[in-house]
Amino acid sequence: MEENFYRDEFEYFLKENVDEFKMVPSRKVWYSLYNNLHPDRKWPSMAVCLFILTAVLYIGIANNNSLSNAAKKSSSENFSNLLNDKNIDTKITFSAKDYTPVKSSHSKPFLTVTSQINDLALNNSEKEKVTLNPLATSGKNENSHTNNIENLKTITTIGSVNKSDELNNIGTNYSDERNIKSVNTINYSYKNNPLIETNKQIELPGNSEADILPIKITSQTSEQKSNLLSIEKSWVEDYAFRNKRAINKFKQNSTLSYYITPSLGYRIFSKTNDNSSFYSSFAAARLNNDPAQLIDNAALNLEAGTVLQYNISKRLRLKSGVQANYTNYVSNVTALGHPVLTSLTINNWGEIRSSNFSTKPGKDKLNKTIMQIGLPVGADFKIAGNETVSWYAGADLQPTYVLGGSAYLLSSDEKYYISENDLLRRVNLNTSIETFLSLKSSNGIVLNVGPQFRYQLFSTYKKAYGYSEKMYNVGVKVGITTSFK
Amino acid sequence: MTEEQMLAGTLKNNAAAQEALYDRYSPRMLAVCYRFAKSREDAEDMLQEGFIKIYTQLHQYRNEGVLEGWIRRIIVHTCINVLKKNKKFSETVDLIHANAFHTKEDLVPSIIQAKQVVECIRMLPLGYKTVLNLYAIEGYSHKEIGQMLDIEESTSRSQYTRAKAMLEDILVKKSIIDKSQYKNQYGRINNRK
Repeated sequence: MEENFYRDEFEYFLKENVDEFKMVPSRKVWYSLYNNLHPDRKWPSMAVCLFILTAVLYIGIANNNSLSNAAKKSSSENFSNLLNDKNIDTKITFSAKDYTPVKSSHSKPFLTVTSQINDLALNNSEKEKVTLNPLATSGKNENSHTNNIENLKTITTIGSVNKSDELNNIGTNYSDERNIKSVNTINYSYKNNPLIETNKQIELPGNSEADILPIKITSQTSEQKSNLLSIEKSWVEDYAFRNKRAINKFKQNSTLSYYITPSLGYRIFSKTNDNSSFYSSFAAARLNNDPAQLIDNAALNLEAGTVLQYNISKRLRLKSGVQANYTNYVSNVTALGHPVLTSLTINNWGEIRSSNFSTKPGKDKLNKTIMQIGLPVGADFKIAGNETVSWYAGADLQPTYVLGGSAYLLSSDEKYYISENDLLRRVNLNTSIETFLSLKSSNGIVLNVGPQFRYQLFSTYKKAYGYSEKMYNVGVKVGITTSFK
Repeated sequence: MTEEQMLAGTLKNNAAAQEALYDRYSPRMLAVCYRFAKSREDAEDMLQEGFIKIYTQLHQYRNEGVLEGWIRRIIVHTCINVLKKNKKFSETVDLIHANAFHTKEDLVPSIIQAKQVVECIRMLPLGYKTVLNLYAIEGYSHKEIGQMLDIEESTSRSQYTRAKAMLEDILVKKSIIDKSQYKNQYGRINNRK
């Protein structure tokens, strides 16, 4: 009876105590719930994402064109104006062997752009063959056509067709060498004009029978030639001015560096909360006043990353990138045969935990590790150097996010290590200083070697834990730098 | 916002009413989840899943009994389902013995009793604490527990007996309870069988 009475009381005791206990959930639980309950209300954020994506795509595409729209428009206008400029006459002669029959419904003279010529020189080789592939009309071995074609840039085929014409009996030769030169000149001067599509037919002015090709450059006065060359040069200069190759200043001044830094890592460990008064208020707590000495050893650490460097002056360059850090050190401990209950001080509050490791130095080792991903932002200063060897000093700040790790925390009495990864600080800040030599090879790749010191500015653990642990590393940074040129 | 307004608003999918309901009951329900879960993060996951069920099944609530009791039952069932889904419960319920745990009486200062009691319950093996939570705190019978956990009623009884003995041992060693002291303090008989 006594036993039953006691058991029922025990349940009552449990329920009464437990019902008093409340916990405030983190706000993200509600946000997740909200998103689950109202999926339709995600559209504002989705719309913003879509807008940003569209904007980025638009900017990317808009900046990818070598010609701006204004330049295109201007060039197009110039082309039209020159095409319709009747003050310039050019006569072209075609050879029959170069003629190829093409059936077309066109009754007007037309020009066919078949290819673009690859040489920009105005005075290109006269021997350069001009590909002429005009259409012929029947019964006319040679015909002439006065046309204002001198600015037809990449035109290599000029011809016409008449509905009733047959493509026979054509035997015209290049009768005027000078005229051919002129054609060459015209063609070459407008190479790579993106405004002219290949295999496109452009109608020429003229409706009468007399205007029908085959055409021939029969003669040009010296004044006409001079005028032609003058306008031609003017157009080319204008085109070159408007379409000059953009100099990518960013690429010129930027380099990309990859590096790896093996190092030795250790920690600065200190107590941040004096909890002696806390413990003295509890008679039940019998603390060990002589905590074990902690024996820790440095261990091999590693970091690797890549940074984009931008020269803002001859001696100074900014850098930013991404870096992965693996940091650890070793504690010498004694593994326990069975877990023991102990307490962990969190926010001046003793919470019950179990432990498998005593801080008493022994043959067992605890690896206290942290894996971080960081975004280093800093600068390098060139102290001295020449074209092949330079000496730099650099520093950076590195916001980091802790991806994982193994945290072993001291128990309240400092006699045990407790595994408690929840107390790892997720966001931290590192800083590093370094100096290195840069050796430039013949192929342009730069090898960088030098010592580096990295220090963690905030404790590895959250403030709730009563101790501070700041990691530091001393290592040798090895890397290469490549340019975008 | 009154309970009626909260209920009516929640049934109409009103976000403000849903949030009010959540704010009112989530602290207590998270404490329930926390007793079953391995960590606080797991407890919050259980809470989230439980509240989704609460919102979607609220139309089934007939104003019979206290709303908190109805919500609590859903939360408890959610916790059990999560534990079963993760196969944690079935693996440990029959295997863990009290002897596997050792306590050191000189290490744990007693602070606030409610939190200490909860933490001590959480120290129990999963099978023990689940049965103890369901029987001693949530008020389910061993028959119901057997059905919920897919175990025999007798297994539930034996698990509970062991769990209780182990918890008592822990609480006494931590100086959280003194048998004679709390027998006087809670000197009345709970008639639930």
